[in-house]
Amino acid sequence: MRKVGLILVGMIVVLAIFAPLIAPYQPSEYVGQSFLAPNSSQLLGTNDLGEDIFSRLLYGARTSVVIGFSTALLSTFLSFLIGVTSALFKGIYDTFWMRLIDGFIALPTVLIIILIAAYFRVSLWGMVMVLSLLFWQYGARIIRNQTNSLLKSNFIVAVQGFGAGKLHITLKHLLSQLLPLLSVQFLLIFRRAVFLEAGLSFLGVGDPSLISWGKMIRHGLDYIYLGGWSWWILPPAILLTLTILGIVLVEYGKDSQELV
Amino acid sequence: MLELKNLQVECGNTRILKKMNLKIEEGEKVGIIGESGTGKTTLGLSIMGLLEGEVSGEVIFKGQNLLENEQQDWEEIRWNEIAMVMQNLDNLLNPGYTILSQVAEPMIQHERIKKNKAFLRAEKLLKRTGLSVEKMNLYPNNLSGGEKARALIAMALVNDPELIIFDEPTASLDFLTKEKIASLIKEISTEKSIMVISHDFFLLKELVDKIVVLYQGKIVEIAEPSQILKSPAHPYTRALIRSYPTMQRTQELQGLRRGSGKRYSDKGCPFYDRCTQSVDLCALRSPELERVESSQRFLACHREGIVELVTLQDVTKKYYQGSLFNKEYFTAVNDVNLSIKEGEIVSVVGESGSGKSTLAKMIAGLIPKSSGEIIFKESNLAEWKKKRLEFHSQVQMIWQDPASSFNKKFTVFEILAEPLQIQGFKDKDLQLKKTKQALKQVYLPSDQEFLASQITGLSGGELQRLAIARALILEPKVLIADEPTSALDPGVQAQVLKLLLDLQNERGMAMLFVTHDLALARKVSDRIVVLYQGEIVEQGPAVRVINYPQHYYTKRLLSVANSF
Repeated sequence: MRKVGLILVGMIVVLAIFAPLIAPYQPSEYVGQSFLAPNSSQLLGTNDLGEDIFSRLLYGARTSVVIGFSTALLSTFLSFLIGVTSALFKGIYDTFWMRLIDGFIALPTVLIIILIAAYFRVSLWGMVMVLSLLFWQYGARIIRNQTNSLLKSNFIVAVQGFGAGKLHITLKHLLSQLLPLLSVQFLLIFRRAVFLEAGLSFLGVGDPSLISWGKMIRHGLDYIYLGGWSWWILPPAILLTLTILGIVLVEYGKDSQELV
Repeated sequence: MLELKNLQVECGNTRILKKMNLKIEEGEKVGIIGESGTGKTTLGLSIMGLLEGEVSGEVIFKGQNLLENEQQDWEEIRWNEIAMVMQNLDNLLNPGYTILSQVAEPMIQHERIKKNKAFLRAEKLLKRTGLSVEKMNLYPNNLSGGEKARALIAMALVNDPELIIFDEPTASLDFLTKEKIASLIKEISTEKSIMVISHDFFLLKELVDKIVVLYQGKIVEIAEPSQILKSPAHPYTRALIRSYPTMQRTQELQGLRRGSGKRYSDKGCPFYDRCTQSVDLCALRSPELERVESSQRFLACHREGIVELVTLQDVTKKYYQGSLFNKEYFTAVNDVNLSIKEGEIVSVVGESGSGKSTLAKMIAGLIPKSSGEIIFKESNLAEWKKKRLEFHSQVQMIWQDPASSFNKKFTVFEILAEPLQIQGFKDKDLQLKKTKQALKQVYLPSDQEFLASQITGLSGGELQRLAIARALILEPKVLIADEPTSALDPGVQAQVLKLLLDLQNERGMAMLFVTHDLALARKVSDRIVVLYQGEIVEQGPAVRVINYPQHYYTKRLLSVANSF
């Protein structure tokens, strides 16, 4: 199962990376008539502005992958940093972060993101920042608790007995022990970020110039009466589903592997 | 009566006695102790004027310096005033004469009394030493060792000397004979001054009221026998006591740590290269024999005797639980006072939950104390916080469950090299060298294959040996072993324990041995501390605690240990 997931995710990533090479046209290039059905030169036809849908699909993968990956990386890093330091330094520092996390968890995350994205029309990287800032808290708490119990385990206490400092313990022991947890966290946020980005684009918030699957579906929906949904709406929906399915399969496969 | 001032004896290039100062009052009983080759006999012989080396300094007997004497003056004093019972029984008696005539002969020579009178007196003396009349007329070859010893003592008594020097009077005798000879000497000592040279602490304890400890021709300690046995001050004295077997003794015998084998220079302390607590000064200057404040003890040591490495004063540990406003706590360790000396093995015994491990971890600086003071090498642990690395390189811990004390993702090399890396040994070659050394020491393979192997494949015994290797790789001064063998089967336990004790002896580390097993504690420790519900209910020398337990709980532990 895990392999299937990896292949799916890998495929999307390859599409995203090599989009400029694979795509027959520039995504915002006028290539012919509007509303063309799929044909030999426009594989998935054209949209209302006469842009090649297939090319836009490939560039849309870029957005999904970049936002998903970057958000997952940044927020997992934040979770790790805050979780581990809270456990290591304890005291007021720990209390501060834990209360802050409580506060963040109480926030209606999606609503806030919609508001921010709609109001500020954030760019791609702005979106990554906003998503990361709203996704780190669950992971941070889990990692803090896990670190706390690791810090009580004999082998880490033993290493402290040699005079090991916090940095040494973090890099040499905690990181490797927390890695499974971090990777689960990473995949979870990857999946949520891809999904949320699509959702936000569908709602039409965020940077209007960004090419995104969500936005393509939204756009296609406007012209659904023309009957082009099968080559305009379906392909981005399928790719989106496959991406998320792929990540889920990797996650699931990981869990079951650890259970064995 | 007798005073030695800066007595020095040289034979060729070797100095056998070094600037020796000693006073023997009238009627005093003095014991001289030391390993063989430390100059005990030389000391006796030089007082007798029987030595052929270069003797310098002064031997003042009744106000007169014997060393200035001419040969005939010596004759006056030797045997008449000072007599000596020599050590080697066989060479001293002439096989061609009967015992009686051999005892009578010096009287005839020295006091020039009539022959039959001399024989009568000799008979009386021999009787006094417990030799029967039939035996007196036998030749030395027909007598047992004990009987020869009696004859020699009688010979020393012949001219009624004031000071008798006994050189190993009971060496190579069996216990019963030894006891008889000892009581004979004791009887003689009621009217004379005696000097007993022996390597037997317990004989000296019976006979003398002052023990002089000699090492390489130098007095290192003088004290009363009971004091010396209870709390030896010089590391050498303690090592001597440790290596001596007695019935009472519960601990395994330990040899004296070998020195580097180099001949030390005369400048420094003679014990320097075998001592585990030496400082730079010890190599440069030989310590003077000085009186220890407010006691009858004299000591020659720059460090003022065996150093107290770890001291605990009223140490308490409370674990808090409950909410911020409703704090409850339970006391794991309560008001503990304890000290661990250099090279000493202290066992902490108690059932599980008695606070043993908490105590161990506090001393290792791994968990903070709630109140009280933990002092290591004259600084408390709060001060050591600033020198964290240095502290941890000197205080090490071995854990009950070795497997849990390792990161399972590490290889053998990574495990052993980690303490070195933490302590800032960056050189890879040095790490490899030290790692291999450490493995050899604990009898584990040290080839590349083993170094690169994962630890998950090792057995319990191997893991604990690896743990010991890791703990010792930084050459700590204090080793805390928390139930180091409880996870092992008896065969492996014995191996690991033996290894641990050998290394302790070799390195001279102080060791805190935490165990629930009194039988084990009895085998390894100098002192035993019994912990019950976080409090010390009893502590003392292992012999005392095992043989004469005072507290109810100790007695219960002992009876339980005996029933298994």
